[in-house]
Amino acid sequence: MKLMMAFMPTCREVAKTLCGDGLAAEPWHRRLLIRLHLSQCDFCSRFARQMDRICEALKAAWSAPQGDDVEAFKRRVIDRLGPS
Amino acid sequence: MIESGMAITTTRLSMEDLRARKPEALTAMVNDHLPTLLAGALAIGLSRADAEEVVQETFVAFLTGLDRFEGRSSLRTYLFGILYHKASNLRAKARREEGSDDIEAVVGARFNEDGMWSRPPRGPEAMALDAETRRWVEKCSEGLPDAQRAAFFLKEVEGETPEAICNVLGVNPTNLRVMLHRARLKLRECLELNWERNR
Repeated sequence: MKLMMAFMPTCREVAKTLCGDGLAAEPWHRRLLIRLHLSQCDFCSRFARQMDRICEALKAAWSAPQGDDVEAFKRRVIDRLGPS
Repeated sequence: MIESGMAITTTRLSMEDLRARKPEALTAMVNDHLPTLLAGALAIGLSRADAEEVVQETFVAFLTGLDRFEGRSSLRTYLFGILYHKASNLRAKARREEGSDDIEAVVGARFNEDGMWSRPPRGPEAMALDAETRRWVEKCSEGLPDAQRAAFFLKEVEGETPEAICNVLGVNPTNLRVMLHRARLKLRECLELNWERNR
């Protein structure tokens, strides 16, 4: 356990990972340590949840528009691109 | 008038057919890629009218310079590259990207020398993904530079690879990491500020 704690990432390192390439980009042993850190650190786990929510909210806000107006726009573009 | 709504997939798109401007090929290309391009243009921050104009111009430019498409990137990524440059020109305020700073400097301000939080994250324990949160996140995203918005859109919404995003934006992988890092931190800090004001 002592050895594990010696390798435990700091809050700064955890935040850097969460804002960067994410947990998935880390090697398995590093993922394990970061998860352990998150389970013990309220600030980092709050930070992680907030980052997740921000991504989810933007995905929803920036998803591809749908509806009749998009279909009408498609038709206008196709007409413009077609042979005159 | 060309009939739209045909479910033809990109894999069946032939460059020869596009060059000949065959209706089926044009329809397939527009059906496959227009919604994503429109979403991307809106995400970069264009108005709906400007976004539609840029999307149309993107398709026109692609067909005009069809021979330049070598197939090294996906058609979607290639089209997004054209769109991004047109959108940046249109906005004419493609704010200068602060890509040279390293990630340590971006993160550093909230931690002490031991790597512990000196300014811990504030805000709700469990942030609900409700309409108000979405509205605030979208509002906060308006404060991001175009390139950061484009990078975030390609990475988080479209799930593009870092290599593809670097090609589109003309940045190196280190710049891209810093851009994404900055975008996420700025969004979070903006939301935190909003939460502080409204609690």
